[in-house]
Amino acid sequence: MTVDDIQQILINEIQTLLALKPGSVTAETALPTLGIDSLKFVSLVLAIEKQCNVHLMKKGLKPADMATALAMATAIHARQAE
Amino acid sequence: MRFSLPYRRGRRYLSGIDWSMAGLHYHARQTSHTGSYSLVVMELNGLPDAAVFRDALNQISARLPMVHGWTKRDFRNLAPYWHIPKSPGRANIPLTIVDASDDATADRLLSDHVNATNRPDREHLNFLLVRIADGTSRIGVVFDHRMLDAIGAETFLRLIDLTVSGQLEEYASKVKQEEPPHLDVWEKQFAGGKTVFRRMKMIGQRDVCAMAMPPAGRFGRVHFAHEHLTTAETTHFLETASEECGGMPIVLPSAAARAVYAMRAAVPNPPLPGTQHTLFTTASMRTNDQQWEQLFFNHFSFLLLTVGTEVPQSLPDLATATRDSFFDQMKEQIPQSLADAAALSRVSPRWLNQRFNYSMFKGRVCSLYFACLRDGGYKTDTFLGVPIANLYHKPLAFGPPGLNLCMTTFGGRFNLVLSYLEGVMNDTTAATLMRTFKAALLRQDVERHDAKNAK
Repeated sequence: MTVDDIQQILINEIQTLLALKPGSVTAETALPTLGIDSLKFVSLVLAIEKQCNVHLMKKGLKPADMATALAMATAIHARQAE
Repeated sequence: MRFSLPYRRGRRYLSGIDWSMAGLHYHARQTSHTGSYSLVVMELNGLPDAAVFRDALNQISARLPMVHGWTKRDFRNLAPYWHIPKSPGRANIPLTIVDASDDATADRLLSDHVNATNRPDREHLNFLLVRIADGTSRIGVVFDHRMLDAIGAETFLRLIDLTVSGQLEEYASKVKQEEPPHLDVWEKQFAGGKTVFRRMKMIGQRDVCAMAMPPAGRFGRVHFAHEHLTTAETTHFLETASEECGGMPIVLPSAAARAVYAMRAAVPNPPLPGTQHTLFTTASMRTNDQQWEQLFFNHFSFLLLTVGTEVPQSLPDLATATRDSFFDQMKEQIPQSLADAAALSRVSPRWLNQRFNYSMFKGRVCSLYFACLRDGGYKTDTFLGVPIANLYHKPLAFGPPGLNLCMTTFGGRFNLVLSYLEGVMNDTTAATLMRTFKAALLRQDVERHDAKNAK
């Protein structure tokens, strides 16, 4: 699974979770501005874990990893390789 | 299993969670003559124009008669719905104006306001404007949880402000006043019921560690203790919480862990072996950008976080245990499952629902009700042109367990409010609990720095 694949999954999941129109989230959208609360964030992480086969809750993420969809996809790709 | 029962279009059918709140209201009426009410307090650095305030309430009352509605049952499908009167008639939203010599008196008046008993069953909003001698004021809004949740109540305050600036129609037209009963997704609802039942059975294997309730069958008034964090302290805590959850921006489990920590410290009697602390906490089901559409009714579900009493009394241990409980329940999609399962319970009358809910865990529903809201519905810093000093919630505490710890945010800082039923704990114990809770929200940071320094 490439970074682009993960990024697309992330964007789709965020749009679904926040009931946003397709295309409203891009690779460079600042995720903290979208108003993802604790519960929605966990739902997002769980969806990613399932689709990307990675244990993010155990491996964790850094605050910088959650700046944009691209940054998050890159971090998830790195965790997959660990 | 896809068949749909008939329903009337244009009606606002209640969700399962709305019906659960109606059950809670029934229980509170029976035990304390109050109801499922909560108080939102706005502290103002000045005095709003009372005539303008009253006029805005009258305009909203006429434009949104939903605020004078009541629950009814549709006998074609047995689903409860909110009956909206065609015209409010002469009914208005009450606004009382009183004077207070100081802040303590204002607090007492607001506490009396929410503790009022035998409130008319069709009164869902009641405003109190307290004019304090030093030129400041407080607005206390008692709201009915059958019609509004905490974010909705704050949004309603914002609607008053927008009404005064001539924008009532623009925003009131967005408010959703109809909702189908969703009597066609049976498979989803039964699957939700199965998931919830399995989880409840698992939690029910251990007794709940809770405070003893007053011996009398009827409960007294609710007292409150209030603290707040500064903006810097709030930021520190959010950082700590994020670290405890693997760097992710998640606050709820860390905040809940500190609630357990404070409760244990304030109640030094050792818990019975094999018991657990359970926190009944809310989980937001709101959709972003739908603040006005979702103004009325309840847009949340619940989680029942558990921490075994054998977990050591240290913040890292409690935080880990609470986080694991939170993640487990999120993996099982408990909030959504509970909302789905609750929809099935709408067929039963409120009293039966409530009896079922309170029979869980041998009547000891939880150790305390807990809420942690990082987002609010009021996002500007003035009300009717007057600067807002603070905005927080004082919910009633229902028994059992007669304890409610509520964290809400305004202006980038957390407000902490403990509500406790008379007889469950005294004022000294409540003050200790709050002091410990606040210290615990900040202590982890201190410990982390100490550990770094020690290296």
